[in-house]
Amino acid sequence: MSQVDLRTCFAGLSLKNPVMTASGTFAARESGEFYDLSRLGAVITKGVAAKPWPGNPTPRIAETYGGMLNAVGLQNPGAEAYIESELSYLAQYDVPVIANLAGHSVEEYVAVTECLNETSVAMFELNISCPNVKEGGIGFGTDPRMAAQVTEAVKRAAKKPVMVKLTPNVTDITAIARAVEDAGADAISLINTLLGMRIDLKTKRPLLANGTGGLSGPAIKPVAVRMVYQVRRAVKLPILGLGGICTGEDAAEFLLAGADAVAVGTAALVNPTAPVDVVEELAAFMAREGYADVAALKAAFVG
Amino acid sequence: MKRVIAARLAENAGLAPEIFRMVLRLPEGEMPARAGQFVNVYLEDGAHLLPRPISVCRQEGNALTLVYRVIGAGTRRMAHLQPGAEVRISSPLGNGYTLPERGHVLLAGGGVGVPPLVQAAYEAKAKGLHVTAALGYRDALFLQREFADACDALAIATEDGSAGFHGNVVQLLMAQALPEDTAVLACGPKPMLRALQAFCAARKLPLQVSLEERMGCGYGACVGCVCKLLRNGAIVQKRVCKDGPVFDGSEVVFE
Repeated sequence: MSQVDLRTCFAGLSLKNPVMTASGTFAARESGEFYDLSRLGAVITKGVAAKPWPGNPTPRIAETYGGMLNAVGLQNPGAEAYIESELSYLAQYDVPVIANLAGHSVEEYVAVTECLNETSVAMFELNISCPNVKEGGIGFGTDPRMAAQVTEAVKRAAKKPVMVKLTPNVTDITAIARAVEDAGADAISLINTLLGMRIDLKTKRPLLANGTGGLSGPAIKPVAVRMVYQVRRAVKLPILGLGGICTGEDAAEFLLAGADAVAVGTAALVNPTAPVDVVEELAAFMAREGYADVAALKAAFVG
Repeated sequence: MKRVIAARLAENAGLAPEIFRMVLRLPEGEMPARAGQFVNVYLEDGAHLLPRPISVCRQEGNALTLVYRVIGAGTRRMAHLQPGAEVRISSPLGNGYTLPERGHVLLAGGGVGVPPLVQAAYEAKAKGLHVTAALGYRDALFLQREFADACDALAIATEDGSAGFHGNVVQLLMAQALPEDTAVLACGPKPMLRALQAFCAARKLPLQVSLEERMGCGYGACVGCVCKLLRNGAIVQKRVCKDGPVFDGSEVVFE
């Protein structure tokens, strides 16, 4: 596979390959127990806020056909603990770190941005799309005006490139994508989870303590591919495509749809080495199909 | 490094209604499991994606025994696996029990919380500790031979009174005098563990409890399975899969 060049430039970052971990499904120490993190294009860490968040009550997880629901609610130890623990641990690896930022308000998003400005973080991913947080989160991601407002404020405060993560729980995702592009975003990632629900037939109650949760996994992949395709045609920004990627072939599908890089999320919960498996499978797929680099594969889309 | 390995199914048969024993042959040189650890069992059927975290009942050489209850579609699928099948499992996960250096060990188990105490019994016996097991069942008994083999004393409680003490494990223990140097290792339903917490606090006995929660990844990445501990006057959240599943019984907040 030496003939395949996976190197990727994404919003100014030089990556070994276009494969990242998806926020919320990656923890440095725990994932690093299964594979060498330096083999990835980048890692996107779990949502972090300026101050610690307790998250939602349990059960937070429910299985569904071909996927899962989660309602973790962005439990995180706050920026200070994130810098001391997660970031310092990641320093031993040769991999760019993208920090997923959480907040309940514009001020909170700006606060965490400022906390992480002087760190080794290579890029920010603005999480305006978590369906499990009552205030903030998805509230910003479903309204083009609010999405633009928070993007602009964070962009003004940030000393790193800012990627904005979009929710699929909207009527027209291209309207949000255009709004954050106009507000100065450096990249877009999509999709976050789809709002879903399951009910326990024994207790007749929702399976999740939160009632509803975010659906992820291979079940949502066609929705994600469609939205990447739509957003590619609406904006010029680099796109990180994610949503149900389990294999290298899945990753290739996103690249063909218009993504410039991809992230592996739920698959890593199902198979801890999935992110690096996807790197190898993508290279094998490209070698088999005769594409020398990512640009050649992307250019092959007929649509 | 931790990894996912392909094990070979040697046995998979019912022990009691809805309770099954699975014996897996591991590849040579796999990391041995400690009592109280668990493995992820990956079902790989395309619909049930998440691993089933199952406690280690016994590991001898390359034979790993899991005893599990069929509670849904995933575990039912596990029960249908035939000997000879390849089963993908993770390396042992979680922290496991900490055995005392000397003295008495009391193993308190309820229902499908009984199996992990088998490994604990054998490890305690190998350390020369005095081992007592107090096991509670709804009705049908299982794993009696193993406990009889590894323990110095064995007491049984059944909810229907069909064998041993008529009642639950904590009621059974109320009637017994325990040596002062007894360390209690427990696994079972939350009401049982909560009652044991009060029981051990009143007698000043150290208690370790193994908790259960719906898990996503089982290795600490998704933070789906947290529990609450009361530590130094403050509530802290810990991941059952990675920081546990065994916790200091005096700290756990049962809700």
